[in-house]
Amino acid sequence: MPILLPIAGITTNLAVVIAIGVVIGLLSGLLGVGGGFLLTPILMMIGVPPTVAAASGTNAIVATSSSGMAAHFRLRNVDLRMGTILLSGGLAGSGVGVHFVRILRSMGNADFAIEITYILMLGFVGGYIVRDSWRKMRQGQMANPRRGRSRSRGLLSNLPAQMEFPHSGVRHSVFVPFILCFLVGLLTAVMGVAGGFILVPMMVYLLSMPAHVAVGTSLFQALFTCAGATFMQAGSNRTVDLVLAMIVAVGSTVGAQIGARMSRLLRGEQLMILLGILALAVMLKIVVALVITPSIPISEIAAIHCLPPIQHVGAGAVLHFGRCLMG
Amino acid sequence: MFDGVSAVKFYRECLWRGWLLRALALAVCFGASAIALPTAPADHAPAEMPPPKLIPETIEMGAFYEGSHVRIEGTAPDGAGVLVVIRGDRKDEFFNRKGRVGPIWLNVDRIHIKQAPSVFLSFASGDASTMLDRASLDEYRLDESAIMKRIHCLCRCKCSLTEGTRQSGDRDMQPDPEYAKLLQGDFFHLKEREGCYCVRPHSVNLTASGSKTAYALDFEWPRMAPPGDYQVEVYACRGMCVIARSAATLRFVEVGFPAYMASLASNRPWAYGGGAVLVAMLAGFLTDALASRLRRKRRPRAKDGTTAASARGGAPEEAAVETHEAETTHRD
Repeated sequence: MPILLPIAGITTNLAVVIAIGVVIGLLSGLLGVGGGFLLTPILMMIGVPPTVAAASGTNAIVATSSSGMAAHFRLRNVDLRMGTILLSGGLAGSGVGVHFVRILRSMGNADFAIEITYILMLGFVGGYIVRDSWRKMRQGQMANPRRGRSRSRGLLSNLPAQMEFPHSGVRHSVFVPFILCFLVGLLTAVMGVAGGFILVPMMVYLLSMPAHVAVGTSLFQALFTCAGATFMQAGSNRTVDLVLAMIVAVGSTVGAQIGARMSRLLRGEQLMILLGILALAVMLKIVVALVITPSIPISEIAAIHCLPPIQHVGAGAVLHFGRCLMG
Repeated sequence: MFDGVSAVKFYRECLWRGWLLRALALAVCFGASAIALPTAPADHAPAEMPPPKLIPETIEMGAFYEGSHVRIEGTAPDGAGVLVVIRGDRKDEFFNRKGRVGPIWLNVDRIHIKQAPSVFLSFASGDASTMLDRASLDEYRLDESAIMKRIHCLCRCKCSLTEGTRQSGDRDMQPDPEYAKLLQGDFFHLKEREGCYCVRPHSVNLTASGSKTAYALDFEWPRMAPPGDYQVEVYACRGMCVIARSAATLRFVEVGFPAYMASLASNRPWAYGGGAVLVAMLAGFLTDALASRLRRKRRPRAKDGTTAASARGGAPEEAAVETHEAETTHRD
């Protein structure tokens, strides 16, 4: 059944767009990734202009992450306190990251830096996760990194402003998640994605959070990040196609529900190994795109950096929300 | 008597009359040329033809718009070849250009294409280059080469293909002629791939219609064309020049719900953005609520309010666990 996308200005097949949504939602619910890094190129493949694909994809992720987060919230997989601190750190990091990108652009090396950052980050994170999870699965261990108590964790426990995160079952200084997420925000501003597949491993391996809670909390963070980005994209660039976003959302919210349910059927290591494989696959795609000769060497400039506008949107409101949550 | 003084006078008078005669001859020449000159270019200026008939005159994009078939027909002078050109509004566009750096392809330049038509469709009854001379094709901008000459490019990177040098900058610069030609070609091919630019020879059908030639063109409207007014120009060609021309406007408009959404997005962008976020959040939460209700329905309660487990004869503890599972599944 054909349907016209009013802002994209193209007609597309309704069933195809819904199917795209289901796949993206499945990944979101299962692994806690926003799916933007996959959604934008897939929408471009069906003829949606790049700027509209990026902005509408962000809007669709709002729906997906709302659905996924609500499902995880019911399953008690969302640590609101941790999520709020991570969100604040991410916003601050992305704000600084934007300026860093500007400096890189003025030096003329931004694109190269972004591509190399992508490859290194995805390769390192994906490789580490796959190796670690595979080892644990072969040894028959349950993924519970918090049981081990390393020297570095001893150092972290001596930092000021210690706070209990009962939902995640961990105790950290407020500065630890804030600084870690600041660094993730910095990276994600450079890379131009919401950063779910960096954030989830970071929560599992560095903050010792259970994998399921990390997935739910990552969705909480993605919801606010993408909501702000959608608002700014619509206001500044007028590139949000609500019809496209809602069709994708219909598929993706259903997919997110299935994904959230499926995540309960898989063990932590299995979830992480899937995330690792996904990260390595995306890295491989970028490497291939870098090496293969393009058929036409020019491409329309797209506003795919969805994080930068966040710094202008409701950072104060988010912090206020965080204060309310933490009492 | 015919003395020396009168001889001089006579000579001067003759001289004067001679000049008068010459001036008169010149004036006659000028007058003749003034009458003759306006008729000379009239042989080259194209005459007006009846405007083409567009079917449909307005392409409407509703919510379930599935593309549109367009037919353009009309009559041209007898024995003339016909060229039909459709042009969109001119606009500026920005592109990244990839270049090979060692083994990898990176964005090496930012290209600013100025005032290029959003759509350029050129259809001809024959091969345009055999119907018109290069000067006419360029003057009326009727083929790929003519359009590429009018596409004005600026770049951030001063490349010299002949010298193999590259110098980056942060301002738009005029590219070298060879590099500009390369960029124009890339732009044209990109637009061609999108379906917004095309040059199709032998696509206009001609049939004799009395003392005139009837022409007809059928084509699919490009999917990526933006809404707006499009200029349809028809050129009748004979003897390598344009002998007659006509024009009409084809409208491509959004109607109904898409038109409402497009106007809301452009007239009230912040309200539209806020609405988009709210609608997306509501859709997400609503789907979750529906999914949760469906899950509960799959675990039906017995009429007396006990759970399926207790109805099956299970222990009250088992029922309590099942109820809890419906709400919150155990963690690993």
